[in-house]
Amino acid sequence: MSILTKSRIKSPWLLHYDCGGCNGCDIEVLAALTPIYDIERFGIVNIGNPKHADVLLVTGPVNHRNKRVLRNLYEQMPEPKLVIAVGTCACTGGIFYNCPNTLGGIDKIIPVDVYIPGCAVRPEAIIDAVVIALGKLKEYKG
Amino acid sequence: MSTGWLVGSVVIAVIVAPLIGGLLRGIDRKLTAHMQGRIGPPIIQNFYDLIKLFGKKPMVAGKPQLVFAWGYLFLIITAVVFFALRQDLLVVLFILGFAGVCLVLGALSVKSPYSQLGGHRELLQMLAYEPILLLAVIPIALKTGGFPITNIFEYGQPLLPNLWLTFIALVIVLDIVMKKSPFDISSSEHAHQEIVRGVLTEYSGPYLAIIELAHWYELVLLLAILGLFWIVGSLWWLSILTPLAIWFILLITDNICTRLTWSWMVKFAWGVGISLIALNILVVNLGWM
Amino acid sequence: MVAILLALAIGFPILTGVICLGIKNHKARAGVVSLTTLVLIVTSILFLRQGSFPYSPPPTWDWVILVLDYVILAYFLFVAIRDFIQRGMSRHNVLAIILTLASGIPLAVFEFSKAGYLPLEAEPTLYIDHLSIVMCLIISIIGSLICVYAIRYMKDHEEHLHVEKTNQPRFFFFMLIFLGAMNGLVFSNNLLWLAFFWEMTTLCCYALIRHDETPIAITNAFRALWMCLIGGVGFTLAIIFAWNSPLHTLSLMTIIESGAVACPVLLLPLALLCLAGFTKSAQVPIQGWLLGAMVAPTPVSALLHSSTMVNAGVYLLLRIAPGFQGTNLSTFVAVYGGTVFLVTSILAISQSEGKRVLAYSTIGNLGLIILCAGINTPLAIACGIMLIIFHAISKGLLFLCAGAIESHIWSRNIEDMEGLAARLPILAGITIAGMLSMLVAPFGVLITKWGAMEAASGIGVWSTLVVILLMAGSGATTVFWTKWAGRLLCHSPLPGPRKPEPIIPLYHGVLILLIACAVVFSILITPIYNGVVAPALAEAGYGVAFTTGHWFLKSPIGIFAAWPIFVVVALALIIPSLRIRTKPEESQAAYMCGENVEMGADEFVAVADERTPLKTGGFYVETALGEKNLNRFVIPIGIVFLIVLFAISVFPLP
Ligand code: SF4
Repeated sequence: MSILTKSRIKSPWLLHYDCGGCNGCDIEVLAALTPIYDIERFGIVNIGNPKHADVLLVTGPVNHRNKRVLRNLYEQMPEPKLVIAVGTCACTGGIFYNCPNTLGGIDKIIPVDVYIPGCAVRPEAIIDAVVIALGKLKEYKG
Repeated sequence: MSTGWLVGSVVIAVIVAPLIGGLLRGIDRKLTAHMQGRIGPPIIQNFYDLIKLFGKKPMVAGKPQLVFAWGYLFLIITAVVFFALRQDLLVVLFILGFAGVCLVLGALSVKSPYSQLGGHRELLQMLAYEPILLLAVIPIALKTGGFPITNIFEYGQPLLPNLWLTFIALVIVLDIVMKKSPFDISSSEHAHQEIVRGVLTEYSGPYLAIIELAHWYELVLLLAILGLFWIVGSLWWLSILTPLAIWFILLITDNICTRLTWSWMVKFAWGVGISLIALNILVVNLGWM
Repeated sequence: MVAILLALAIGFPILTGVICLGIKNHKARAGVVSLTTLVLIVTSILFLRQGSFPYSPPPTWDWVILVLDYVILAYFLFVAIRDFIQRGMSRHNVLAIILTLASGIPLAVFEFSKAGYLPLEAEPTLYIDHLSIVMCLIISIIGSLICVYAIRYMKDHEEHLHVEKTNQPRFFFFMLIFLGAMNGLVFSNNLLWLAFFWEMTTLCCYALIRHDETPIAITNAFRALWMCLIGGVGFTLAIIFAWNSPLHTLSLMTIIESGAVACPVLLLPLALLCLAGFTKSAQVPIQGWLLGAMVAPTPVSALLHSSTMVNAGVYLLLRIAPGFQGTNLSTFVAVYGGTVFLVTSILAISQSEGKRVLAYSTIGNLGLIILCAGINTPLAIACGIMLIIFHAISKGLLFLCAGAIESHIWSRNIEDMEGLAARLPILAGITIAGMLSMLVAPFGVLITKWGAMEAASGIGVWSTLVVILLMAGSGATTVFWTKWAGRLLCHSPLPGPRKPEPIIPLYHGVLILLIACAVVFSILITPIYNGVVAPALAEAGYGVAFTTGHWFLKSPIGIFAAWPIFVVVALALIIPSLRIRTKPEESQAAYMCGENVEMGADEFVAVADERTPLKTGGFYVETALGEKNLNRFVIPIGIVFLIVLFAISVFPLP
């Protein structure tokens, strides 16, 4: 494994975007940052700016209003980048499935690397998902 | 000093300074995590971050920002080199000032709300610390008879006992430059930040890495300037220990303070910092110290 | 030979100025102006080769000067009274009348009754030394370039204002005689001659400010008139006191050589000359006239700020500095200059009009030169002289840039200049370079600041205060220059090729020449120091300021080498700006919380999917640092300073 790949795996910076879920999953994402889970152990930092981010965590179902924002945020992340759909809403639309204002899972708009089902997801699952997603970086050819 | 020795110290400064800077940043994060009851990242975490950033695809929001990022890095390295060559301390600080201007211009060159805000706030930070930084040189020069750093080495006596007022003022400067609470006005040194990282908002990937690298140099340079206060005599090891102790104190303040407003920062820096140095100059001029 | 040179430097521009008055044809006038500038530049270089010499023209000329001095004063009286009748009483015209009388009547009484014989002579009448030669070079070269630039500018200006009957003959008449008067001023040794040229520059300044004849221009012209006339009164009194002193002389050289330490009575005339210098250089609290002078066409501002008018004040201070060496007056001058530098630098932060920022910066830098004169060590005086040189270049450049920008956007507001770097890359690039030349190492302005700091750090207890004023002021200058440069740079990434910038040879040519001067002179600072500054110091009786080596300056307490930093700047900024090519696919819009629309549009999507323009702006801290707030303190402080000036010169403490 080259030093660059190793560094990529060791330093995933997260951008968290809520597409309009119930906030249940968002609370869990923040829980993962608390001292109990301490994701900074893995070099994970939660940042607010797509231009600095490596991993996009999306919660909630994408709707007509925010699909443009979601795509913009994704496009403003420099390669290599990963997307994790956090929670059932983000995976498929969840309890909002078939609502007229929503489109369903976020994969309708942007490519997703890892899906975490659960309503809400557990922080351990989020950490797990990030680790799985990082595995994909080993194959990344840029 | 022989030429070989000079070239050697330059090479060491240019290569070793970022290593120390990166390590310090890593230790910083580790200690901060411990203070918050967390385990925290490995201490070489910042090197991973840096390499990762260099490996990302470039994404730019206009050419000027790239030019000024390079300018920022090169000028800071020049300041480090001039320092290693023991040149005029005032000149070193002027170059550092130019570097600061580059950082601000890089941020202001993008029409982006956050970057503009950060740039203007960084300017206010410069307004707060630049006069102190430049003024701090005066008592040193009065004591050692000149501005070149060589003079401090030749002075034969540690400066701190006489110039501790100046030293305290410089600590305030260091805190502002490190962007630690309560002075993290333009952006925080930590990667996570609310106003989406102020001056750095529009930088990404390799260019963010360049600025981070430059920041490491800057950090080490400022700590080295603090170290000058102990540089001679049998207690030379204090010249390494003192800056590190100060740095540790700043970490603690970072963790126990909240951010304060910019106007408070300017008033505090000008009021306290300048008064301290003024007092010190006066006392030295009157021959009491 | 020397008589011819003097005639060319002083008389020739006055002559061609008069010729311009009669020329209606634009091309012919441009030719005359260009010829004059060429002659002036060559003459000034010949002066440099000639070196220093005294010269006394035949006594008839003393008569001519005597008469013309009263003619100018009579003209001031005439215009002020005419204004009084036409536009009613105002503070400005009344003060102009009073002050004209206050300077004219005592002079007349003195000359025609007390002095005993006429005309009053001083041996030599003119004295040309290296300080005057430096000034002559600045006046002739930078002033000339500004006149050349004005040829094009005035054409644009009149077209923009839809002026029916061109006023350019009168404009160039005053521009050219201004240069002649300035040359006369810096060469004069007889105080009467000096006073005459002094009033002549006031006249030109007045006439050029009111050039556009708008009500505000006329008001500001009268403000400039009376404020400068305070200096005129000071001059008159200085002449009388000098004549009545034991020295019984009007020769500036004799007064300076004697010095106030040997002859304490001289302190008062020297203080009065300082006052004259302060008013001419628009120092606090009399800064108002220079700010008001902004209404004039931009080349006038450029001329006033860089090579003429305000330079006369600091020239006089540097000239008489050896005279008050070792007195309290010297300390006073240093503290005063430092205070002006600090307050004007802070005031500049709150200004959103570009030319006002430049004006405050000028006043601040003049304060810095005055500070140098007050510190009064060889190092400080050397820095003062070099600061005049570098400031003239950079400030001339910046004003001309402001004018060129104005001719594109027809605004002087900094906020309107946003993103100019994208539309006019060359012009904006030169402007930013000009700002950096005022601000950062290794440009000359900063090198001299460095020297001033070194000099200021060693003058005893007062040095603490002076040094703090200097450093705090420097911090403030960083803010306003960087902020302005940032506004010019601020633009969104542009997709696709942009429209090429229209090249206007007279604008771009002059601007490139000036920025090249700023860079080359900064690199060549050692030869400049050795060539003109060191001889000027020696002639004024100062010791050695710097030892020079290969391309570096070394003072007793520090060392500065400009070229390594230039190499670094080239590596750090110029090479990346030439080499970096951004690929279109790498461009990305600014972060706007994901609400950005397509690339190149300064818009974001707001409520109800509406596209809303993105607006950004500079930070002016109006409430805290605005003129309204600060002038409450600044003006009284300035007045207190002037009172102290007289207190210490009338009652000199040991
Ligand atoms: S998955 Fe469940 S908890 Fe998460 S956002 Fe959707 S509804 Fe809320």
